[in-house]
Amino acid sequence: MSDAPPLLQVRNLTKHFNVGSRFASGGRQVVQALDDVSFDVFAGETLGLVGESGCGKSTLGRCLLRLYDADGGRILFNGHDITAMTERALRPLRADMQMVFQDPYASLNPRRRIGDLLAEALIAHGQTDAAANRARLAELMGLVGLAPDHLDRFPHEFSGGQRQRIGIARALALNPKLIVADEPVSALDVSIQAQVVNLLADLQERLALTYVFIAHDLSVVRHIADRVAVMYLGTIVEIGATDDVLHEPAHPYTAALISAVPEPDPLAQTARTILQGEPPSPANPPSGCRFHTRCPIAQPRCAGERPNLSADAAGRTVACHFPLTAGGRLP
Amino acid sequence: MSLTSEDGARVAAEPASGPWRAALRKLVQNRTAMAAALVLVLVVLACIAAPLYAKYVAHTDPFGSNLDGQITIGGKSVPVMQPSPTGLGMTPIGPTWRAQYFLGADNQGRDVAARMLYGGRNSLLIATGSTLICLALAGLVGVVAGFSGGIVDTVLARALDVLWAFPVYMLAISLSVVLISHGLKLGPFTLQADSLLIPVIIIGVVYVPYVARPIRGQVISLARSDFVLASRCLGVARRRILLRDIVPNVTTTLIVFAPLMMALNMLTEAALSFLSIGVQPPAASWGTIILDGEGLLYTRPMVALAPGIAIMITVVMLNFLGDGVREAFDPRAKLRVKSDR
Repeated sequence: MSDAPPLLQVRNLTKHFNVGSRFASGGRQVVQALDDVSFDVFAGETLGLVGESGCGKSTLGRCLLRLYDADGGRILFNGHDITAMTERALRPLRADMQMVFQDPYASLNPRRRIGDLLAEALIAHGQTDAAANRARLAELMGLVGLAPDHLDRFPHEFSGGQRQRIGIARALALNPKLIVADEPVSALDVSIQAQVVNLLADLQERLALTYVFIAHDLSVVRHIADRVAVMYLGTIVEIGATDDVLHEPAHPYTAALISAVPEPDPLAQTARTILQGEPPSPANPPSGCRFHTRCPIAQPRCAGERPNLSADAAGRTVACHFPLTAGGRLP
Repeated sequence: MSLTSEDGARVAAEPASGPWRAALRKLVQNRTAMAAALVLVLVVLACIAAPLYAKYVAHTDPFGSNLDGQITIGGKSVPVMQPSPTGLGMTPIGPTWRAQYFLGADNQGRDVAARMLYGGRNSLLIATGSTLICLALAGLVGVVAGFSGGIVDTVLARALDVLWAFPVYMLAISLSVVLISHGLKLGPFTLQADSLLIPVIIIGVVYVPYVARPIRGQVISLARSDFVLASRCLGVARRRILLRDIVPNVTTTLIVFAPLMMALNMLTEAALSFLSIGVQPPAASWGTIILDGEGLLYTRPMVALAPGIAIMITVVMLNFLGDGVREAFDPRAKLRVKSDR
């Protein structure tokens, strides 16, 4: 996996949003949604992207596909620097990178038939032969477990899980290499979540897909991801193999996140680390390590000096001055 | 892992019915709205039949004065204009409740009932025409502003704000006074001062911001919606996103606005015509007939009352219909209803 060059390389990616008006009380604020984010995604793997709400996961996903324009840094997809490409130059590459959205009720235009929605992908890339498109769409429907005659239906005739399958079919229409799945199951009933996750896993195997899988549910990530990146307040604090990160977290934030997952065994003894306070506003992030205001093991150094995301002696990639050692337990 | 959709059993068995047809069906099932539509159809038919009424029922010329005419009531010949009981001037005949002068005459001796039907034509035409102009302009401005963003949006949005900052009636009155005294010459395009198009255009234009601003807001939120992001992600061209993703979703809003704007425009037309800056004599509208009846309010109240009641009935029915249309078409109200989550 690591011999081939990465499919996606992200270097020092920065994105901020201006919020509020110059005339509002408090004036215009700059929200640092992404601050110096770097990571690689290798072909064929699933990178899980986890973190609490508002940490920049979705913004990152949208920047990767140029749905948002980054303010700094570079994104290399398959060797092409797409950071500043014009939409015209980008269009052929768009076929290779697609997205599955979180809310299946918002991601399908309610006024168009499923067949028209899906055909849009083919038409945008110059495939205008109606009969051939129809055959391709029927194939796609089969791929995601829906019937070809559903192509004539409208979105409101489907359940949430079925709509998400349609969203997946749309993402697959152009035979992409990379799919960014932005919390693809968090809006679904728990009973449907497993089906959709399994469908994604199965499709990955059959079609050699690469996923960036955004989630806040660690159990879903544990199930599907090969590697996990943990985000906090617009930065990646830890990245590594799923087993390492989730069983022996090196960053205190990761450890806290894991200890917040409910334990299915009621008799299991869990030492739960409850983080104090709310996450700080990304409009006004703390100095030094962004986590130091809530970190149970913070030292004076953490407030002054910002830790870099780098491999430590134990081979773990973590942005912390005092990474946790074996066991990954917080005091 | 099975690829069959286990949650797939619940797709309706019958073939697709689109959101448009579903909305129409919902509208047809709404009894209040359908009753209102029926009344409106009757009003429209009656107004269309105005010449027939004037020629074959009332036997009168609704636009010529008839100051020394006589009609026969119960075998007796009665003058249309009678000496006033107060001894000053003449008083027109009151409602006869017969074919001729059913609702009486105005102070020119003209048949009020026939003029009501002719006036209704103009009132309905102006209300419809100005609504079409208003919705077309507002849709265009709202969509262009909302979808372009940036400087185009800023300029258009501020222009709408400026237009909306004028009180509607003051703006309409100012425009009317200018246009009606001079007509309008724009290159090859000329409008006579008494053209019906003048009130149509004025009323259409003054309400553009009222519709364009919510449309713009909706376009902005649509442009950020997930399904537009999905289209962008697929590499769909901007123009195609506009035509396939944005416009169809905005159209419902315009449809919802249509009957409500018609009601509003009808009231505005009546107000302008009452101030004699709308429909110009000898043409009539319900507003001008109320003006005709103003001086007769104490002796022959029916002259002003009848067109007033006609306006009221039409406007109330338009509002009932509008409520039904909104219930049936409003995307926020409808689209999640049938999804069985």
